[in-house]
Amino acid sequence: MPLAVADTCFLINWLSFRRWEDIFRLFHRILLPSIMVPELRSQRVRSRVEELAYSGRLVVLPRVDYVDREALRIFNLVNSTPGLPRIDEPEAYGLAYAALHGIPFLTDNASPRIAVRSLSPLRGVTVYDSLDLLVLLYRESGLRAAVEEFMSDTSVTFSRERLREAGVEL
Amino acid sequence: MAGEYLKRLEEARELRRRSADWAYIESRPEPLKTALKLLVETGDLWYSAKLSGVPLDELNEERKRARIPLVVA
Repeated sequence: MPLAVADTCFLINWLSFRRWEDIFRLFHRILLPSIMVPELRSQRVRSRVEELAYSGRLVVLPRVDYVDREALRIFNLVNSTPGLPRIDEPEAYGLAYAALHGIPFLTDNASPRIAVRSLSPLRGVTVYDSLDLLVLLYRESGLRAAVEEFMSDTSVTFSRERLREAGVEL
Repeated sequence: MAGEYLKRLEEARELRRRSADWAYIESRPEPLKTALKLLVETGDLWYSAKLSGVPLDELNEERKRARIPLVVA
């Protein structure tokens, strides 16, 4: 998989993981929508993002009309469907870009994940959360240790159901 | 499908409420205090940051100090 589009919360936490560089074993480049860049204020995160951009491993996506239109459609569709968790504007943009270009969307928020499983217009769009990536990276060996390290480094926790789905016992 | 996830999200909310260091949260100045409380209830970092005006990555560091886990459901 050469490309993936990420949301800011996912990126901030993944960059705190001691093995953060391993993500580039899965994706040649990470795309970050420009509407999310102003949200990065801390010098530590900004420095790392700038370093990644400089080395060509992260590309900031310009905001463009055709993605905005799709994002608004997704925003309205998800937020008007009873029983679905709310989707935020940047997530809708990231999901729209992923849907239009056939690349995965990386997010730890539940809404896009549930939306692509529940809404027929979004079926087929790939959404990965951190646990999906940990499984893809370490399923051959050391998955449990990697999950524990990730949780310790980021204060991100996985629900029992997600761990069971991934075959991880902690 | 959505119903199953909503149950998971409710369990995640309970976990955040139980895990949070409420003394730490109450000790924070505004708007941080409100942002942290909003995060406990919603689990949504971006939304909590946006509504409170606290920068996203600053809130993320604060939520670690406040022992609020981000729960991937």
